[in-house]
Amino acid sequence: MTIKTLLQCTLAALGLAASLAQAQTVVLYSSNNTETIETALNVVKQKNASLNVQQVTGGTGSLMKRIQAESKNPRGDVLWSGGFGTLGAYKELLEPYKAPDLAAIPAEFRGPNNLWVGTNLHVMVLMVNERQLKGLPAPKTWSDLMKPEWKGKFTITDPSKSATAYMLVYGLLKQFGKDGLEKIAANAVVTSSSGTTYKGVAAGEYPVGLTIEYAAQEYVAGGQKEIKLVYPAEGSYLAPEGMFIVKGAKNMEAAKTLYNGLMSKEVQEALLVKNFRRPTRTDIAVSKLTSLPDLKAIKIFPLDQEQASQEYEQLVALWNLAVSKAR
Amino acid sequence: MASITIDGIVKQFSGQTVLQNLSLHIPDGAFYTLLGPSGCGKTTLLRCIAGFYEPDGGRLLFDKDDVTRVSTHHRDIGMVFQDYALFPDKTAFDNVAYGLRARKVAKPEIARRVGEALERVGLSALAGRYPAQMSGGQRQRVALARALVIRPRVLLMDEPLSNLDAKMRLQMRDVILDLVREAGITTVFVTHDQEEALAMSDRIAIMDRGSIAQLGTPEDLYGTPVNAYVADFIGSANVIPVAARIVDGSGAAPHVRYQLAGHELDGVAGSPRLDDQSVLIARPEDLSLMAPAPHVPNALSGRVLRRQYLGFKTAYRIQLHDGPEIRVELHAGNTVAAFQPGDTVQVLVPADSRVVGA
Amino acid sequence: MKIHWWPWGVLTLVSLVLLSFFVLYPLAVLFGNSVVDDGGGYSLAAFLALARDSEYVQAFKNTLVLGFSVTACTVLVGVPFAYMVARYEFPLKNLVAVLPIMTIVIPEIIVGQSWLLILGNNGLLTNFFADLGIELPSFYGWTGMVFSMTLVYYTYIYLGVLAALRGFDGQLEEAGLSLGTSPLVTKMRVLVPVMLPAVLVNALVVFTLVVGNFALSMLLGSRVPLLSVMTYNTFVSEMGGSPALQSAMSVVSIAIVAVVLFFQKRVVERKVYTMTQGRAPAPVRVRSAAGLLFTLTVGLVILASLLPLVVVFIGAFTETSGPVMRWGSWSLSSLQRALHAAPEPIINSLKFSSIATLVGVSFALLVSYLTIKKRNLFTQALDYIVVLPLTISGTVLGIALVQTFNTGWLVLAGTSGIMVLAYTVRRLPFAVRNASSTLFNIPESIEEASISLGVSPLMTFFKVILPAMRASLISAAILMWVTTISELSASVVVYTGGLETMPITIFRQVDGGRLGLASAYGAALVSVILLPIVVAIKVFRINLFSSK
Repeated sequence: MTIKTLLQCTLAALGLAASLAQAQTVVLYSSNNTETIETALNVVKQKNASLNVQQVTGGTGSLMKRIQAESKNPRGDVLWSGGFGTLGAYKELLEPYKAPDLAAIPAEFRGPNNLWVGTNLHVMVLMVNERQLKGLPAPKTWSDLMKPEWKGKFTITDPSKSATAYMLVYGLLKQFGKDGLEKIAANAVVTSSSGTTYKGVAAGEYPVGLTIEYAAQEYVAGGQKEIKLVYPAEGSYLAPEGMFIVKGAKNMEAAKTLYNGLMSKEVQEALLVKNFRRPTRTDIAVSKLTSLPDLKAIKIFPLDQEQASQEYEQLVALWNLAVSKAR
Repeated sequence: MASITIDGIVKQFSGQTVLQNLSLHIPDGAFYTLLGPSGCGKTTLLRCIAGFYEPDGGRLLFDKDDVTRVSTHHRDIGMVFQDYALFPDKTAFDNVAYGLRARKVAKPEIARRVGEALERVGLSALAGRYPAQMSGGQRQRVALARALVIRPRVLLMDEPLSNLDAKMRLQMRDVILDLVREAGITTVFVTHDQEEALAMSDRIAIMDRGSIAQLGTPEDLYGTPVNAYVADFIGSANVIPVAARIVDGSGAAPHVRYQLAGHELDGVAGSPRLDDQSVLIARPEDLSLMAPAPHVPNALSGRVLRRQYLGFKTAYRIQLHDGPEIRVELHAGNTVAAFQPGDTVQVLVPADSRVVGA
Repeated sequence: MKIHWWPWGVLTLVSLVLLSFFVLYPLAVLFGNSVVDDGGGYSLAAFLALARDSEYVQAFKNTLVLGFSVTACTVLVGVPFAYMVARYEFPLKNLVAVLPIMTIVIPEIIVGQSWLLILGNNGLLTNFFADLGIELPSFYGWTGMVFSMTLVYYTYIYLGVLAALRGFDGQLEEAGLSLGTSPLVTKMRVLVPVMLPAVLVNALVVFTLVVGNFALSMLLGSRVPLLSVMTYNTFVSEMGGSPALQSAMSVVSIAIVAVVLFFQKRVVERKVYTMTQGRAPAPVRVRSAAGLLFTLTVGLVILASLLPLVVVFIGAFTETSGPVMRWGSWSLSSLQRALHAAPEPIINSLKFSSIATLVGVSFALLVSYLTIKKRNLFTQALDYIVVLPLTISGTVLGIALVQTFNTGWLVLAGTSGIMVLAYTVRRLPFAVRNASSTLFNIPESIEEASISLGVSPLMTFFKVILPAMRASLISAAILMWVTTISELSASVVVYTGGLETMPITIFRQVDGGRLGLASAYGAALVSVILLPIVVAIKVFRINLFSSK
């Protein structure tokens, strides 16, 4: 090896070492799918090139349990994202942090004592497969589905298996009472995951599914012409999702950088356009960037997130009762 | 090279005693054969000598060393197996070199000795071949070379020729004998083929259900078998129950008179005591036939049942009058006219035919 | 029979202890958990709850029905196919040699996913026919399950019947003909009764595999309640809570298989006839038109078996928009995501399978040597315990492992350890069988020859036995590698975040509707499986499929 090559190698090695020394590692626990995470991280890295994000994916429930198991020696730094009810149940695992950009997020979507912040808003909608309606009129309201001709014709996720499904069922209870809930339970085909619910509609097995806005929109935007998104006239329910920094996170500075990045306008816009994740930020014009309506254009039936999480066990019990009555 | 002393060996398998208090001394350099039918214990004894079985009683010595409890791989033996047991993934050269390598012999010396060994069995050209590419005879020779090249104290052979065809078997007898004599090595050879035993051995131990029925030279066993079992195993014999009494017990060949087919005949005693339950051993080739004639001593009359012409000899089955069937073989040189089935003949029993205890 | 303690006695003991701890103990824990109530006392409450649960009862019935239907279909496909291959000669017949390889190489989840890509909603063929105005029936549910399971399992019947036919003495049929029965009647009366046990034995194997099937049931089952799916879902929802229900369900699954196996041992195997000698009749050359029919049939079956391989690669390179596959448009983005952006599943799979293969083959070598060459009471016990996992579905095994190693003094949950353990325990029997069949054919005299030449028994193992088994060890390693890297049902139960393997990721992506990304990982999985096989066959010239 000549002196010149040796010099080049040394320089390269030093440079590598230097960049590694500067690189900040942060461990992200996420329940979002690969594409969504990719969208977000690509934008985050544009502004923070030295951020090295290690991902661990899984369902929110299992990730929370993992954080709990690791509480004495936390291996994760940031969790993105989980339903507010779930987050509320694990308050002792969350690190309070006031992000500089917090003003952009409405107060109702922030966590108490800055324990978490809602980054995205899930709107529960009716996903309709027009090809499968076969004579039935396209539903416009939740109440439509309580009619006898809808028996076995729409899917809904088990509320104990999904945070968004939980808010949906909670909303139905609050809006229509026990009787309404039982009528829905009588007609619904209950699935064990959100995926099954909307895939069943997309696959043409069911004409209607009660699911999340972005899931339905993916098929619409993907070009499946028979799929339609319907916001029920009686009001949709909101299920915000939030992120937090793990208490005692090892890479606190990097975690804060990631946290700020994930809730930034650039990231949220990218998430909206590419993955149809409705942002909680008020400074993004949803209807201008996508075919989705602005939040203020949608009728929302208001729900108290905190109360929803407190009434978890009652609701699940009530639902199970309603379902078994229907069998 | 070592002598082998087997001293009161007992071996049992699942409650069955397979070797009964067996003792045998094999001198240094001798070729001893263990002969017998399957189940007699000959292979068991060989495997005890090898160390694959540990005896339940008794001792085993190589020269003066008590090897009864010594593991096989420390006994310094050479063994040749019935199925050759060549290592399939190694060439002839590597097979033969195996034992030398295990003894950490230097490489050049290994090359020299293996080369010599393969040359000795005539297989130098096949040094690079694998067992799968060799014939049965070639494999057996490699196995032999492998066992001998390490210059073991004793050589043990477990029916090594049984899997070869007749012609190869004969050839290999010579190969084995040449090599073994040249090396001067103490050899224990197991076989069920009596012809092989007779042709090769210094001494033969005929085994019967775990004991040695008779130990002796081939001539001893053939000429003076001590009982019916030995007599019938070596060569073939007419074994006929007779009532006998010793007339003159003195001398090496006590005179005996016995009853057969209504006559009283002269014979020789092969056992010290004889009685009504004795047994005449008459080899077919020792008997002769003649046309009926009066006053012929030691002759019995009978009728020819069957005649088989076999080229170098003719075999007859004779039904003795007032007696059992008897087999007679006449060699081609015998000028007596051919008898036909149905003919009446006289069977001449030699006066030195042996009578033994049953 | 003397037991020599060193070295084999000690090794037998150690192996027994290890196997008991990792196989018997978890099963015991599982059984224990099924009969314990909330208070900690014994009770059959969990089983009673199951019996009263109408959905569970329905799942029970459905599973049995599914078992019977798939078994019947595999017999209908496998038997005529085997007969064709055994008795006739026709063009392109040599292609059938590729079939046994296919069943091992293509993981179940790929099969399910590929057929979904073709016949699912959005599927290639579905869209094609939809554009023509024809609506294909939904592939989900009974149709899809029976179809894909038949395609996956028919080779068991095919190979078993083929072997039986090849071992059948043709003179028996000739004797029948000479006694006056027509060819057809002869076949019915002479051939069929002797073939029947072979068919039955393999049919029962297929039945138990269907009952324990996970990937295809989850993927295609849709709203059909099934035992394996329910057991898995119960496990997921009971996580962190009382494991009574999942344990009870697992016990029921084990019971079903036990009953079937008992039936097989007692009734069927008694009737298996061994041919004492004889050659099978030579294959008959088939004339042109009939020959064409045969070739077409064989070609069709092979095509259907191979299709998933092709489809998964097409899917990997197809452009996607969220969950929608844009057939006809090509893109590298799925592959880029799988290989570059999120390659952890690939790395995990490679890591876990390598370790499992190493550990598995070594242990299999030891165990098979002990059971074949050092037969005694203890090694017999070893033999039984090793084979035990074959009778348990992957889901049940995974549940048993999680319950045992989640707490207590040895916590493996959350570490690579439990993944490797699940792989090894589940696939060890295959490696053991592979090694055993070779050892069986190595005569004892070879070891004795080596010992007589002065090499100790232990060194003989390394210098003589191991080299003689080289080819077998390589094929056992490949078998281990291929079967562990495509394992799903046990690993999906025991894994936690960060430990995803390729099959798990494929499963999750399919569940999330991301068929493009699933195909990308699928293509990676298939490549990683094919490579060692190609190397073994071409470079080492090993015939991998003499004994399966």
